[in-house]
Amino acid sequence: MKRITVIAGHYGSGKSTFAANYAIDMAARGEAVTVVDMDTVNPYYRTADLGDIFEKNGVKLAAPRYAGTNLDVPILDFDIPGLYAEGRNLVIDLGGDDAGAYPLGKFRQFIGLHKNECDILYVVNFCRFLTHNAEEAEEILREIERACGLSATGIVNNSNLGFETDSEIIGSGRLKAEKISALTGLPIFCHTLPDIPSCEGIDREGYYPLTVYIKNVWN
Amino acid sequence: MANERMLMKGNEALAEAAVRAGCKCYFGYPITPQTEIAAYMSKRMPKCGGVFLQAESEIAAINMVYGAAATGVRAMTSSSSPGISLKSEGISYAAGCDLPCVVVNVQRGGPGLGGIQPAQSDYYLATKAGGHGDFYIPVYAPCSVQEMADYAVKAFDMADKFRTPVMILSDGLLGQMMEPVVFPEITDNEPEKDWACTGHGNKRRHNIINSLYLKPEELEESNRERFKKYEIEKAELPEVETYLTEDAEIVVTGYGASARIVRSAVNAARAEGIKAGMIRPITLWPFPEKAYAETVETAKAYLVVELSMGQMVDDVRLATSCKRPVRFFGRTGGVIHTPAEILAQIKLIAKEELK
Repeated sequence: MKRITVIAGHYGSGKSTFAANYAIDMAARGEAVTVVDMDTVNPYYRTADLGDIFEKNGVKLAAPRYAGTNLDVPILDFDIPGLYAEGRNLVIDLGGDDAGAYPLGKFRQFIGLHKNECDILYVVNFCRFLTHNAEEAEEILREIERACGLSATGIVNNSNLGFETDSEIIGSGRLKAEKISALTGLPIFCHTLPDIPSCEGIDREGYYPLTVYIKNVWN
Repeated sequence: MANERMLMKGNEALAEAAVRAGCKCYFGYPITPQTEIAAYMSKRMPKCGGVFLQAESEIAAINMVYGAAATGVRAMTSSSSPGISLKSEGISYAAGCDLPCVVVNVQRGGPGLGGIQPAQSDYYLATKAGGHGDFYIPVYAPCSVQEMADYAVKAFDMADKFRTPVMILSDGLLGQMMEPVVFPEITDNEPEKDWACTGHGNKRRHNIINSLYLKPEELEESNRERFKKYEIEKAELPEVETYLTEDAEIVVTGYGASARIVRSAVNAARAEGIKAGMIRPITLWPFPEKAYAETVETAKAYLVVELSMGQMVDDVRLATSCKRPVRFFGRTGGVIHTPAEILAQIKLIAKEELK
């Protein structure tokens, strides 16, 4: 685990869910951690929506001050070096695709200086339409890297079909993740496994268990 | 990957289905919560020989759709509530010229700039006042990511069949949420368009697309002709889903995302021994009146649930000929009702109306 963890990926790949889990797990181990909501693209389903859960679990949240309001404008009213100087670990959750990775470019030099204590993770869900195979997923990875001027250091395989995820989906996602790892030379940081009823029978060994915080409003 | 399930946002599924349905031109302008449609089209259209153009305004975008549709190609625009207000002049012109096209409204809270969260307060705008003049357009209200895809295809088919703009009335919840989706098989339903402006090449009389009539009598005649078409649409288009209505004493009705929540509330009411059922209109115009009329004898009361201050209520009263009380429950401004809130309303009605 590094001081700084950047979470990037395609829209809807599960960046915020992974970021939240990763930060909460860190806090549970007694680490001081700040989650940074750096999504300047999509105001829906953003990290800051989980504010209550972070508070309950001892995770600090840094988010644009108007996040979650009707004035959700694309601004960053905090800076990464300042948050870093507070001495806590940082989990930086970016917006989707290259568009969401641009703001990180502003802190490229800072991240570069702290390269050895920084993980830049590419979250991929192979059930998403535009990252259906390793080649497509690599294309979006490269666009993200170009946008922020930084290179990813690992793959988070978060393949899932929402509440219909089953062992077959998990298995085929794993194979595709190994393929993109071979294609890019990037190590697999982890394979995730959601804590939902349809995945209950799957052996958790070798998986990063994920709590799914986003619920359907009709349940 | 023909029948493979994909995890998609409603907006993305709608956009991809439109491309598969043969949409060749997309013109739009960004606005939350529909921006994914434009973003998706910007990436997808160049890869399939189509056109994506971000217009300088919503008004420009709908007029580009008008132009493209006049040449006979399948064209689409999308926006969210305030943007649809801006497009309504263009929708009226397209209706006045009998131009097939698809307009998507991913609703947000209003009036005015309102908010960015989901709402259903454009029911009147979609079904009664889509622009100036005497006209209606078919309105489809999907309630899942799968239906966003299915009805995108159907919207294009019906637009061509009846030579009319068709609206898909969605909302921020459906647009943004992710669910598994399988894309529908595409059957080639695009008819020959001998009316289209494609260049006559001196081989035929030229086609004219226009909504200006020099004589009042001619305009009246054209309006009467168009209303004959509406009678056919009213007979052929209505679609509805009914759920546990056969013995229902309390019929709860809502469309789109609301219907998802209503269904949970109806199940909860049944579990408590209340005979509740649901009518979910899929076409909002033409309104599926028959489904309501069929329940009037068994139902004791109706409850309309919308993310608005109550815009579908009048249509339900008319469809039930005001024979039973019609109550309303809604949240607005971007606030979404919970199944428990709706259940509480059902229980209240059970107490007051089922004596």
